[in-house]
Amino acid sequence: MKKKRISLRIGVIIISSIMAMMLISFFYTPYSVTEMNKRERFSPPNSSHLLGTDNFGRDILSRLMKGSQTAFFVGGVAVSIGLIFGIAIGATAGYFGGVLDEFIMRIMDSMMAFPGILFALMFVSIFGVGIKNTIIAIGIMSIPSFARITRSGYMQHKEFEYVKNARVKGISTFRIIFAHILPNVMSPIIVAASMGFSSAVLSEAALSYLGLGVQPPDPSWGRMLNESQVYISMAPWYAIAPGIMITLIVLGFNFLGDGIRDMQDKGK
Amino acid sequence: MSENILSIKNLNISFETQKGFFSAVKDISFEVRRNSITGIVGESGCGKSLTSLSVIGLLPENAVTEGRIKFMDEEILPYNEKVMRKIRGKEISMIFQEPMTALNPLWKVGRQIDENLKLHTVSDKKERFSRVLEIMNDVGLPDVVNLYHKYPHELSGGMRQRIVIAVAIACRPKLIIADEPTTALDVTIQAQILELLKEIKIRSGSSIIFISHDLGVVREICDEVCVMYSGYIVEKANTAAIFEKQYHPYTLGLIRSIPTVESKGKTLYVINGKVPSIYDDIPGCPFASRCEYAEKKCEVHLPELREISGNHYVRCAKAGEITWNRR
Amino acid sequence: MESPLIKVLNLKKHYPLKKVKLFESPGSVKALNGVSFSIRKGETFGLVGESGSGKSTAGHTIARLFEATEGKIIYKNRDITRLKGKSLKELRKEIQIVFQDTYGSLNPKKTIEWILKEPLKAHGLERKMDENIREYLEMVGLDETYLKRYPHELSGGQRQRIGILSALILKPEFIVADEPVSALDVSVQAQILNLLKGLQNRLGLTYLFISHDLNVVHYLCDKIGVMYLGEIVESAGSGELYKNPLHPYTQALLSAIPGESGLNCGRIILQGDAPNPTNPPPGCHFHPRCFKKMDICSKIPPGEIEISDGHRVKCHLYYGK
Repeated sequence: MKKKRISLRIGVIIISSIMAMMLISFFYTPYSVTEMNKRERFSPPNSSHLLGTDNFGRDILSRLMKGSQTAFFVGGVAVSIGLIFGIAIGATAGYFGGVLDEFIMRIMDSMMAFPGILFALMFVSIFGVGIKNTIIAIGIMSIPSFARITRSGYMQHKEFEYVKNARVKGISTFRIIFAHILPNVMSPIIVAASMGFSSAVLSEAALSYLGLGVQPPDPSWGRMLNESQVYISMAPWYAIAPGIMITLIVLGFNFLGDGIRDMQDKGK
Repeated sequence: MSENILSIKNLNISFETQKGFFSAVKDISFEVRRNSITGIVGESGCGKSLTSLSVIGLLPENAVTEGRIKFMDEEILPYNEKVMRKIRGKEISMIFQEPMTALNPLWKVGRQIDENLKLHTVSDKKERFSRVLEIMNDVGLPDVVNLYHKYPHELSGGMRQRIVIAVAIACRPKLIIADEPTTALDVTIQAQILELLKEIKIRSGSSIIFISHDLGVVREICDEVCVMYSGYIVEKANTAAIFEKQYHPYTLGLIRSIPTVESKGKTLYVINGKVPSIYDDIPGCPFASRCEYAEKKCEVHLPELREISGNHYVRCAKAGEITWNRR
Repeated sequence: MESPLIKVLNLKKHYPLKKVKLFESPGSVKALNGVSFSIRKGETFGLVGESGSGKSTAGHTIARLFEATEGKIIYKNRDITRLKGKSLKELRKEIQIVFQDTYGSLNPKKTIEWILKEPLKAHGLERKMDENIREYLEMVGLDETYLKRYPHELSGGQRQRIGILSALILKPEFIVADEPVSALDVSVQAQILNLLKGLQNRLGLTYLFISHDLNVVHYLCDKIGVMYLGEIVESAGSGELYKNPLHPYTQALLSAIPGESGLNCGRIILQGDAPNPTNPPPGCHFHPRCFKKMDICSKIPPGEIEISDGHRVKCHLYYGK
């Protein structure tokens, strides 16, 4: 029984420490993130620059800390977009069923079949490069998976007697869907949201790595990875630091999602 | 060999959980005679299912058992997993309440019966096949050759329960435990299944422990009845005797609260209050708080299970002292 | 004579099956196949039958949980079969259901208070809401401490009391009780039956009581309809039906009550199971299991005949008598 809690614990520890780092970065970073220092270019980790400096002599630790803001911002907003639209679409399809359900779910299927990164590339190239469009693109990409999970929950729960009971009481359909059923189907959605967070961060890193996401001089882990690759043999720490951060945050949210699921299973 | 196929003496089953230690079955003793049906009746949570699971050694892992269980002159408590595995299915078998979940949905029904035979008795494949058909015939299934190759979901509820019974009797067990075998079935199907169980008893000489919450069903099929309440056996006698005269106020209350032809238009008798929580430690009679005849002594002293007339046992301090009001 | 509170005329409910073959029109499950009865104010009408007989479908259709395929439901001299929108919502205040499954019929994630207030809010009855709820809680034998609890924290009997209360809160006149005591223990069942009876006397309610338990139905109901495969095969006053069952199926049902047999003629054990309602047998639906089967039974479906006042039966045995 105790074994199961491990993934939840690891997840919480990783995510809360990255979050703490982000919160600190609002008030304090060791150096300014944009301050360049020509004399200290590519200095390896040392006592004044704990993680070394980059090609402009900027402090990598400071940039990583600021970069966590980007990661959480992108993840948070993209997942919210996915959640809001995914739940609305999935609930409608699942509750009403029939032709409407078929129609909606076929659209979702075709969205899922479309490669996510390709879609984001198209979206960004049409609406312009920048963090705002990146977030919207990532958010739209995550809608189908949320819609699917929500739909299956609604399909199951609409047959339950508490829903019939609510209908007989004359409660409006809108309220039945969102106030009566939603709290009951929320648990798998929460797990999916946690996992979705990690994939949003990953997508942001990928897009920024391709130069389509966050624009310089704003720090982003993906962007840092992109910039570092030219110097990988001469300054490996430059690439390793953001790489580890991306791995950690993805791992952290996956652990968290697993942990929440285990907790829910045990609750049953 | 003794006349009893199973005898349980002072059985206690308790659990250690996060919420604390509680005992679910307390000081239970009863015997199952050869070729007879013993009923255990009680409401949900009285410990009747746990008692039956203890006989077949399938209690949850965190259960602690004390006492003696003797099956065919052999002590089976403490359990030896190796011995139990041999006994289970062959000597003691079980019929469950929900026929749909008791069967493997991906196996043809014939194979489910076959599996039990393969495990315990017949090794020759052809012989087994004809034996399976024979058993299916015995439980009153029509068109057995065809049915052999059907899956559980293709059958009706009544047929499924017959298959479950066929699996249970495949190895001609000495003892069959039937845990609410008719609760999930319709009345007309229930009547069929009860008839079948009686037939099996007569034909194969097996004994049956029949667990139910339904006094009517128990009256119909059982030779002997134990009434359980809150983990204790509160009354025990042969069926005719117990329905003729109830010495325990709980048994009486149960019988009186069933609507009958005569009760039409009157208010039904109700046992007040509710079953005590399993976490409560009650020193006295567990029924005292709901009993209309309870006295001070009932609340502090747990009465013994005593013989009040020939082979009629009751766990009540006041039994025999006063006559209960019937209606 | 006073006109009945609710009248059901030739009610049918068919569920279409999924299309499997391209050129064959898919069949349908005939869950309800022409059911008629009427209930007077303050009366209790019982529907008995086994699973698949359509008794719950009948109850749910009458309470307008879904729309009937054919037939009419007349409530207080008004056709409510096809009501929609606002007028359907108004009807909800008059007709309510008590469900069987006390676990499933109360929202597991919500407190009792939330569950009870929800219908009142939906109908704009927020005035004196708290007092109202308190009064009704007392009526079903519970107190305010239950308001803050969740359904899973209550026992089966307590949950069913809440289920009944949530049906009563809109002050309906007609209640469909769909197997309200089937999932309960014997001693709790008696409590709930007494409660239902007491509430009927106090509030002048009219019940449609659905159950598979003949004892319970006989105890509570004034009239009984016996259902088999979507049809009422026999209906009569409950005393009359018990004393003088005419349809072979009713006779078998009564004799199958375990314990004391309801009939003196011994036990009748029916062969086989109830057939699938997708493809009911021709003629009288009951004939494959009937022990008094005649040649005509497999060919022509019997019509309904009234044997004595209010005692109707659908069986060829009674033609020409």
